[in-house]
Amino acid sequence: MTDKREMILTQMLTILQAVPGLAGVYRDVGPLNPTGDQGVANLPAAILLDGDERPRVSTLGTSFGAVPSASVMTLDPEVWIVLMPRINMLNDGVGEELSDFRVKVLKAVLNNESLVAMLGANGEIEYRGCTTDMKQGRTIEGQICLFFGLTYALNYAQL
Amino acid sequence: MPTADGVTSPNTGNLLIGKGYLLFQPSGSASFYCVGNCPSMTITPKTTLLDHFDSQAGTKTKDLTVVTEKSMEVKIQMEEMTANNLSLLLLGDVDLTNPAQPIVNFFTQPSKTGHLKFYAANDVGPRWYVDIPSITFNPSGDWAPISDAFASMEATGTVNAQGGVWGTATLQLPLGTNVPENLVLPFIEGTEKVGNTLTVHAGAWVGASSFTYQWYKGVTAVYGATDQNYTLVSGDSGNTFHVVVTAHNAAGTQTATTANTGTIAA
Repeated sequence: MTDKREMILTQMLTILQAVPGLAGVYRDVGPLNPTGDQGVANLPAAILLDGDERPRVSTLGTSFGAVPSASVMTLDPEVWIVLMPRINMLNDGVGEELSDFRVKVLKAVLNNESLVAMLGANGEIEYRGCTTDMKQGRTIEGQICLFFGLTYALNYAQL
Repeated sequence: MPTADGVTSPNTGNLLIGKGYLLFQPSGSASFYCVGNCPSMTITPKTTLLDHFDSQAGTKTKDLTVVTEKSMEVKIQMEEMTANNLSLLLLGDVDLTNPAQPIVNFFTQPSKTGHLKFYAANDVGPRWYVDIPSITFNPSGDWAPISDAFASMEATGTVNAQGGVWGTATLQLPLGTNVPENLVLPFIEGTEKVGNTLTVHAGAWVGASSFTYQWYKGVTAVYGATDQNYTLVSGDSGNTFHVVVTAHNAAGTQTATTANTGTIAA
């Protein structure tokens, strides 16, 4: 059995665990609240959210029986970075720290040979930008979310 | 379990989502170069038919069709704005007097003829290697130096039959069955001066799942220099460097070696 989707997400978690400066790496947990149950000791933290999986190439009409042909799918996991909250309203260095983690995560994901090999010859890594909480109406605590599109060949026969 | 064997049907493993590398060797050139990223490539065989109709009685009935002409077109969409690709579109020569700033002279040639190879790298569907010994390219698209999206250039080639041979398509084993195959040698980039960092690029491979690197100073392996980057230190001046790149996959390994750098300046 080869569940490539799970392999890719596990590899993403492994990549994040090697990003320097992170005190905690989690998968599929709700947004970490700096004053909540998780405690401040685990910050700054990265949270990997699995996201969705969609076919990039439709397999409609390709099956001779019930099982369709192999297809190319795109996973869109999100990587949240939650910083240690500042002790005053000045938020000293928050923007710079978010930028620093953005670069670290991007470099780690884009340069990971194991991930590239896993995605295969029909695969692709796409960086789809980021969003932060540094905007009017948002929490302004120090969070950034990076969006990825990870394309890979899904062979149903190998599931 | 469906596998891409390209022979047995019905088999969903034979359905193809193509990927691969195009290599072109212009006539008179000693080597192939990689055309780079091509989002599409199409091969179109064409024939001209002469029909004969029986008109001895009643409605004319076609009773004979003869092929009077055969031709084949290859259309490629090129995305990499290299001097070689521009010269294919603009039918020009590349002036490499200053290799860092090549000049493409427009329309210095009536067409571009050469040898075209396609190495399939897809892992969805069968892999067909295509070899076209002689093809003549003419421009069929635009060059858009200004655009909001990634620009691409289209060139259309007419296959030349040489001694009755047009070309071949050969089925390859699925990726990972054989050791990786090197198509374009690895190469080193960077300024050859102490204090600067040199970077090795793996080149083009089919079937590689990972790479390892070993830097050599002269003929001696540099201990611990196994990254893609190497920063030149004072003891390196006066030497040349090369890198042995090893590609890995489940079937084994294959190596390829870069050309030597120039002599490292102090």
